[in-house]
Amino acid sequence: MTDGHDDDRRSAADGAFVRRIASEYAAPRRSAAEQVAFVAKLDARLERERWRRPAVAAGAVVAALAAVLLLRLAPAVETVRTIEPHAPLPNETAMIDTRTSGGKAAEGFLADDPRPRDADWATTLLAQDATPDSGVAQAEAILVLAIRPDPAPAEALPDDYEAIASVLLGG
Amino acid sequence: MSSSIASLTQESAVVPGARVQAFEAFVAAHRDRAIGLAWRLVGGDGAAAEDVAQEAFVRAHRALGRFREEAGLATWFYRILVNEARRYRRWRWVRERLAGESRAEPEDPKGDVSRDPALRRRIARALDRLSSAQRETFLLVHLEGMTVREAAAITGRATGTVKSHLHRALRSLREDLADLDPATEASA
Repeated sequence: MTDGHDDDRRSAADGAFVRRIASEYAAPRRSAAEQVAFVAKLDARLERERWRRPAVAAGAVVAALAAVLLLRLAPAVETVRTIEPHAPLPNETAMIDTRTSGGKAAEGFLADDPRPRDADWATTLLAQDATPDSGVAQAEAILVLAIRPDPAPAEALPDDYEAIASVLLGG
Repeated sequence: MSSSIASLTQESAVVPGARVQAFEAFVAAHRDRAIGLAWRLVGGDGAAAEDVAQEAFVRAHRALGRFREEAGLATWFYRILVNEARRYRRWRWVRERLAGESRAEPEDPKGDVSRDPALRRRIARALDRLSSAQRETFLLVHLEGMTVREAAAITGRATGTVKSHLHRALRSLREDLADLDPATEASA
């Protein structure tokens, strides 16, 4: 393996030390039987290797074909998403209770006032800009909309109004 | 570094049987040296050295078709061998950590009466304390007689880096094995 680059290998001073290590730290001489056994084992491994590679390739091809076949034969499955009704959470229950009791109170309050207060009135009032003395009227309008039974989906109050109403009724 | 199997790939392209014969010739030419280098790289464990050498030959055989003569075939093979030895040492390290036990000393070679087993173990321990780069370059250059350039090609490092590793390895070993150093013996 040497090819004339010995100048950068070691100095003469290191030579003896290195030679001592090299002579003491070397693999034991191998017997003829061990050498034969090594070659036989290597041959066996190479033989296995020779069979293993086509087998692995064939296995990969079979697996790929099986996957394609499965995909073709499998019936089309439509994914149906079901939304389960859920029980109201504790805070939702509290909100419903507040609205119900507050609604009853508001109905009693509005019944004492002879002025007509229907949904159209309330919607119109809320659409107008608030004036300094319109605070009470706006609160009344919110109350009317909040206690109105089963509003049509198109007329349903936005969530913000629902929240405001629940606060007012709760207070 | 020119190998007896340099024409292996060209021959095998024409005659499949030539490939087998050429590989057998290559194994016959490099078997003992491969086992000897592996023995030193793995720390004096005969069984492990055989496994590493076997695996290197199998990998070389497997990758023979990809060999493109950028390096000599022997350089290419010994690079595979050094990588196998690194892999073996890494796995041994992992096994030792997982099992939480220290490595048992390799058994002394049977019938090898010419060498001192205690000294062999001391040298193995001193080499073990080197970094893997220092150990590999020291073994390849000083104990296997390769040139710095060959060691650089095998370990995949620059020649300057290899020289630096050699210098540090030698200094460290001189400290650990001072009694083996003739210079120290002479002054004492």
